[in-house]
Amino acid sequence: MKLSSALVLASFWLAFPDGVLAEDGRPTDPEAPFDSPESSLGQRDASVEAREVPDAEASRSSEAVATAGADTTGPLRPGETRVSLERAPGEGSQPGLGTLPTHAVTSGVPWSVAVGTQVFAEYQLLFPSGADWNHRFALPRAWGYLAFRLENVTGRVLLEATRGTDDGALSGVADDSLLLRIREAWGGYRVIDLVELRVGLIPTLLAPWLTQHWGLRAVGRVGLRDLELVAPADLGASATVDLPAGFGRVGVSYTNGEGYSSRELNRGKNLEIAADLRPFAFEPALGPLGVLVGYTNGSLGAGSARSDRVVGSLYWDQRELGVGMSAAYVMGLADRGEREGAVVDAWARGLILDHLILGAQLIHFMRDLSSGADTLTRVTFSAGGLILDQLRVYVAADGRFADAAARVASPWWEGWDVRLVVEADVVVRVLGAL
Amino acid sequence: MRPLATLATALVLGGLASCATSGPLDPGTRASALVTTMIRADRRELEGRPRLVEGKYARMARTVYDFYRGSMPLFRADSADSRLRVAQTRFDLPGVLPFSVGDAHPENFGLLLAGDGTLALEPNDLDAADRYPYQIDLRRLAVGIALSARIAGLSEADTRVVVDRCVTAYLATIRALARGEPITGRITEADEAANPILFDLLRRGRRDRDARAELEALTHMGPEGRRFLRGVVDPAEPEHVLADLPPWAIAGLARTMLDYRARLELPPAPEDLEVLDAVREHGTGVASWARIRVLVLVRGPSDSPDDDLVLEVKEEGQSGATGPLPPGVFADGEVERLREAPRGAWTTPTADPYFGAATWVGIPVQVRRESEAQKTFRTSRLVDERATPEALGAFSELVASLLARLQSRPALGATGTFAQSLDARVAGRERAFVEDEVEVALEHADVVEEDWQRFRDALRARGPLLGFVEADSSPHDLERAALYGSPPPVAPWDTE
Repeated sequence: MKLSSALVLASFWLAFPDGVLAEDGRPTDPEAPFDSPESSLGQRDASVEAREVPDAEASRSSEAVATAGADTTGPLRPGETRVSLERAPGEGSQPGLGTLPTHAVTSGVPWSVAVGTQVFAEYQLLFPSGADWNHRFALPRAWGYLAFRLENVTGRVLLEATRGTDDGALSGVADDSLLLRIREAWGGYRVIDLVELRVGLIPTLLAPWLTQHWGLRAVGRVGLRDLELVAPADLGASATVDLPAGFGRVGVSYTNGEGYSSRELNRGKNLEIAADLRPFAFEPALGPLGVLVGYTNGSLGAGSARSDRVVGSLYWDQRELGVGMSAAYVMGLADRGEREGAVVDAWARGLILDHLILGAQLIHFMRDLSSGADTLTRVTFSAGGLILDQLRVYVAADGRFADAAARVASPWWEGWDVRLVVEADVVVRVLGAL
Repeated sequence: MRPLATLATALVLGGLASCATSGPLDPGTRASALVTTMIRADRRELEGRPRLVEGKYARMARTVYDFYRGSMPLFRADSADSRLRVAQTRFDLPGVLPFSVGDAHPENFGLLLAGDGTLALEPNDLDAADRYPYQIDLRRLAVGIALSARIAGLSEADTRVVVDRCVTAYLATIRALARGEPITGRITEADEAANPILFDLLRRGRRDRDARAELEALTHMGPEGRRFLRGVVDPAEPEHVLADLPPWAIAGLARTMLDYRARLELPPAPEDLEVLDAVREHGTGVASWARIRVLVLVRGPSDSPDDDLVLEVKEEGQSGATGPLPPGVFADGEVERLREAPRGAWTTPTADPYFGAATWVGIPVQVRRESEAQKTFRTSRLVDERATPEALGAFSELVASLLARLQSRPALGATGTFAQSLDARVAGRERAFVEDEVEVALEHADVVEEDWQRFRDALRARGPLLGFVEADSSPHDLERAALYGSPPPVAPWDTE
């Protein structure tokens, strides 16, 4: 019973032999803890998935702690329910390379519910330039989520831990405690399994998609997120279309523009358009080669400060190897609509012997294109591995550099950090037939 | 698919429409940045007490200096915008974060009344005291001096001379401290001879100290003894109003006084702090206009009403220091930060022996003596003999020296070696340092003057909250609302 259940679960991992693309070629969703199940799993028949799972692969999968039903390797029967505890396949299906803890909602079945958690915990050794070293424990991420699917209706509520006040604050709600807040809360509808509509506090498009291709979210954020130039979630609505034959996805979102931590402050709304394409999806050797383009027309704050972004990215994204570069033209930053800058983000990651994960990332931020000065740079190198299916450990080293102009404007930027990062994520999934 | 096409069309058209209707501010302009920055900084107060913020903005609109006082968030944002001169320097000290008062403009310097009854010039607003890059406060001071000189009617050449004297004095004090040379102690009567502005402060301070003028101005004698006046205190200042506090808030003050006393360097006898009366005070300050401010009448050294003491209890917020070195904060809380601030800020930590911090009904508060003797430098008094280059130059040298001294003291974890660091950085280029800072100050004073007009234009165009839309979907915290009180109407500022 236990083995057969694991076979089913392992099949979900193996649905992504090339990493972020589902078997039908549609990319999985990015930063979100789990995301549109359909976009990762499509309408695959569970029995088909199960048949594809070799025993060796199944044994690598997470442990199924409970199942109900006579034949867990076959398609669900009417009224049958299965429960499993697993390591989130997430962008998963790539153990050790996931940015998503899980696809919490399983497609191909009439209904499913998933409850999961993802935690990034760090020990940080900090060597700021010109100042004393320091060290601390930190919790960059603590997520808990619940997702459901009932036929074509989907939804998700995602809670995250955050400080009661901003960084540097001495007091706030319950002093400076870690508090829970809602990061996502949306309902969605899947139309002919190509289009997904979402309304509510939704994940945006660019940030999560870029994060997915980088793949090592536990080690660091992509440049646009690290510099807080885009929000990962916002109040609004979105529509994404999965292109046929694995050619990628396109999406549009229409949101308040203030991000998920603020209510709307102006009359403007953010319009975000993004396309994440795999132009050689038909050719297995070049399938992982992708291009992402996106544009955001937005505004921030009561003064409607311009906040427009144009983003382009070229990447190679598969389980064993990920390489890519993105460039963003930033129109409006730090609440100043007239400021124009650019961000270049380059990354590489590799999975060696199925356990050792190496990564490198370079973020270069030009904050004033008019002068060419005022640049910040961050370089990160990391090495990690799987301890358990649900647990990964990384060691990361960051170097942060600034030119003369940026050193004055951001005197705390420069320095070195060494971090020990522990990533843990688990999801309990219940799926069944009506 | 038709509904989908309709939805997609709506989204696209909606987005395009939003571009065209995002409000009267051009999103790429300085005015947009100004409004966005101010609203972001005042966001919490805007959500909870918009009428008070309305008063603050109206106050800021009145004069360019009031705008300067209220727009510290904009100044800090400018200091991080490398396109602006105020964010550029050849003499930066990466990783060095000295203690500083955080908002060292000239009107934040004034007299403090020491325990021995003497008055001395010190920084008198420690709300933002924390650790900052040194040039933030140096420039905050120098720009303020430049604005003061212009308000006094000095020529641009004279303004330059005054600012030059300010920066030169700052650097001279830094160099002296770095070399261990003796520095004059408290700035008192001994320094007033050739300084008309200091002389004016001390003259009026002594007069009001001897008369206990605050008791005359704020209280009256009734059947139960001395009590605060209620309502408008001075018809010439209709916005300055004393109002009743809810009984539970007054009751909470007894515990606050105990907390406050326990943290004082030289605590008075417990009975000295027996609360006789308390009122909510509206209509003072500029940047802190929207904060809860309470006046507390305490017994003083005896039962005689003649030595009753007035204390000001003021709500405290964050210092505003952002993005500093790890650990990111340098005190355990606001109360602890304020408690330590005098050690760094003042020539002697007991320059105002009644300055302290505590919590009141869950709010971190600063407590200090309310005394008419504690006169503050005001640009509005820069007339006659006080409106000369010599007078303003001499005064600016004093406050610059005070700033250099306080930045060189160990406080809030700062080691106190800042003077040596800056001295080494500037060595051999002293004149270049001064000239750079003078240019920055004059240039940014222009920016402030232009911003003031932009601010006024934004208020006219977008309303008294700069276009911030109140979200009043949930009932206010009634207890907090009672503390916010009902501020009196703000006098119109736009009389053009």
